[in-house]
Amino acid sequence: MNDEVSPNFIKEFIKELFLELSISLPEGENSKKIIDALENRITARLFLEMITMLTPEQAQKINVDIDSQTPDAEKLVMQLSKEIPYFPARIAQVLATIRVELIEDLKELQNSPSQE
Amino acid sequence: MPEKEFPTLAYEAAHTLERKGKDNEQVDILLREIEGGRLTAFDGASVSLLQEVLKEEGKMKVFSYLLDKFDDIFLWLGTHIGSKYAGYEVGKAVTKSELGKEYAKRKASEYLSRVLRLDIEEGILGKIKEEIQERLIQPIIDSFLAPLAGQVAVIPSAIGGYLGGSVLTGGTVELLRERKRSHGFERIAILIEASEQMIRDRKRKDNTQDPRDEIIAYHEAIIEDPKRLGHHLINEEWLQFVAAARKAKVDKLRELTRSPAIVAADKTKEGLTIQENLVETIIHAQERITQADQEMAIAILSQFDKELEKLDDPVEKYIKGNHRIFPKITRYSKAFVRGGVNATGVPLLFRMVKGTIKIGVRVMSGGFIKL
Repeated sequence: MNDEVSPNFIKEFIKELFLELSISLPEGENSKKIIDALENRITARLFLEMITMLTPEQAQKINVDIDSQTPDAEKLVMQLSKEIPYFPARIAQVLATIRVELIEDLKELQNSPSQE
Repeated sequence: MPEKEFPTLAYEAAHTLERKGKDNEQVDILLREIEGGRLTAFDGASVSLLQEVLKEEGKMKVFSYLLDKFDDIFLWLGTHIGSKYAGYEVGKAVTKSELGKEYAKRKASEYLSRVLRLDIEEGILGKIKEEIQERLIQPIIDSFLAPLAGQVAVIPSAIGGYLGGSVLTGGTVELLRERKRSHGFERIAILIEASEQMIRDRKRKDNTQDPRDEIIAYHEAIIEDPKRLGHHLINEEWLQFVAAARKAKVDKLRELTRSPAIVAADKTKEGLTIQENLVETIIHAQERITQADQEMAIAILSQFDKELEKLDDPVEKYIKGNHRIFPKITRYSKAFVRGGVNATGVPLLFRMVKGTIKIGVRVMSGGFIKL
């Protein structure tokens, strides 16, 4: 798979956001846990939004793929995305919306007092 | 009538969008540069300015704005170019849209060469250009002549259209116009409207229950009752209901992360600092939000599962579909999303703008700035 293009874009997206909001967490478990949790949230949201961009027929292909012995989600979405109008712009829009939500949701981390 | 040059069009486009009330200092800077005549539609000088701006706080705002607005800008351009060529005679029959497309392609390539003309190895430059051209510019050019302005349209045949609009990204639920009595959707519609209003207005009448809790509870109750509380919903109605319940859940969960009083007071565990407690609360909220989104994805997928077609009851479809899909969804959705995001130009642009991909820029004056 084309990993050179995007080793983990979503993690980068999150770390960039932390930088922007001046959020710094103490090294170790907390930092990893929260980034993982945010990554899962963003993934789930993007997955959901992508599904709503599909037609029912296209969605059925996902059902078939998930159920198969050798699912290939990346290949399927590459195919499907070609059939979705304005796909890149819509993904960018979703990311922009998620970013706005995260800024609100992570505000408290900005203000929280530092560890003793 | 003299032909308007691309730079002027871009300026006007950006200004039109600016007037739509986007409050963004960094964008003001860019626009002022355009006015000063220095920013001629994304040449080297503008990119270096962009880079300066991006070093500052709020840089993602500009990036998001540009990415968000690229398609608007080209759409706007498309409309004007189209009308400009209305009376144009060519040797053979050529449509307006073809001319518009050709023009836009030419300008887009010029833009690309100017911006990316840089001091990087030929091979990488070629690859970047190709990726941007194919994944970002081309779809934007293709979306050029769509009859819509502003937001990207919801395609009626897509599931999102089915759901009645921008339910997920914060729009209001446009409920189905025709509500069959026998389905009993009317009762649910009332719950949905109350919940949506609460989410929108952020207040409720004193001493009444939170309508978000009501719809969440009702949703649970319908799933648990084999008789579905007397409702006979069809797929669309069920999905609208699920979407509204999800929205209520997510709204409540996001509240958890915000009020300092809630965060400090709620479930303070022995030995945890305030910050640790805060992080725990935030993680807990993210996990529940993730779950709500996964459940909705499954609710949708199960309605379009050929294996479950024979079932009448959308809830039954959901229960069966959930059984099959839920164990696999975390892993599957990760791969799916990775592929989907990589299929756009977004990660590439993101890294270029962040400076992860190091390129230099040739400035108009002949100097060289390392980005």
